[in-house]
Amino acid sequence: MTCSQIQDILITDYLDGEIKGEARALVDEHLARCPACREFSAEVIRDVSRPFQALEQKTPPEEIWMNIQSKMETPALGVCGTVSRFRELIGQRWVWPKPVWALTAVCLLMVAFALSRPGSTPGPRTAAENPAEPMELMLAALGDESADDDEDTEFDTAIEEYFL
Amino acid sequence: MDVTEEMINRAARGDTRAFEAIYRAYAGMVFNLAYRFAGSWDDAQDITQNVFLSVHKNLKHFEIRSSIKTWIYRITVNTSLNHRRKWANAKHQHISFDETLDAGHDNHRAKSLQEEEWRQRVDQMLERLPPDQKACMILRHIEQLSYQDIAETLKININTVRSRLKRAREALIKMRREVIQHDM
Repeated sequence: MTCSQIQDILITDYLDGEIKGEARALVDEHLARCPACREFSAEVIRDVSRPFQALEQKTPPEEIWMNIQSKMETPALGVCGTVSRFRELIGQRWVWPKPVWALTAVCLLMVAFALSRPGSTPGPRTAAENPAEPMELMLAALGDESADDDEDTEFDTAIEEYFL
Repeated sequence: MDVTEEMINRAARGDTRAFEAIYRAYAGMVFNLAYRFAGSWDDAQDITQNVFLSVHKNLKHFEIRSSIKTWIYRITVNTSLNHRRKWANAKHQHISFDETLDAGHDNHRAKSLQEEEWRQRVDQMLERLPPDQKACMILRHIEQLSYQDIAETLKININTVRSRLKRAREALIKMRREVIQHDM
């Protein structure tokens, strides 16, 4: 083996004890008769191995475990946990996606605009004329059939054309 | 304390005491690894905390036939490297190791001033190594893992471990020679 090959082994497997038996004996034999490789081996031990031997192991502070404990998920839910989880799930069902809210807002604006126009053909009484029935107006604009059952409501404006 | 299969199963089912036993068994290893990667006491605490929260979250998916130690090593290396990438441009990364060592957490007393200086330079050199070489050096020299264990931890070929160690050590030797030449 050449000195270059021996030095590659010295800086890796030989230093780390990964080479044993006959292979190690071959390297030892070369070192015995090669001053350059012996010097290189000493350099590797001094400059690579020894500095790491001086490093001290640190002890982790106890606050790490305390922080972990406080952040860990809670264990299996008891009765109170189950009730609160049920409430959470029900609440989620009332969260509508944004497009639905946007459409609702547009419809309300259109209804408000149509009802606020002066001199318009008789149409549904506005909230100002009939403050008790803004909900019926909104439902009608949204195509809610139940609003038609209200005898006090008259819907005869162009707003319906938007939805027919 | 040895971590048993029963401990792992109980911890995976939410047994806090069993998980604490796992923590106590490996916290030192994780913290020291994190400290060498991050170079900062505070960062090492953050990394250690994140590692064990990840272990806690994923323990139910851990395959018992694998080594939990290797698995935790892998999480630690990945968490440390991700932490480092996240703060790569942060100002505190440029704090020299001299300052971190002066934080009062290092009680080591070197045999000589020259050895102490060299040890600090090794820390600085580690800091300048590419992450893949640094990971191999730390696992080999700090954790004393075999080439096979390093390969399993990092999920790389054993020859890759060997070549990364060789390159890192050649860089260390070259740096040492330059320092000696500069001092002359």
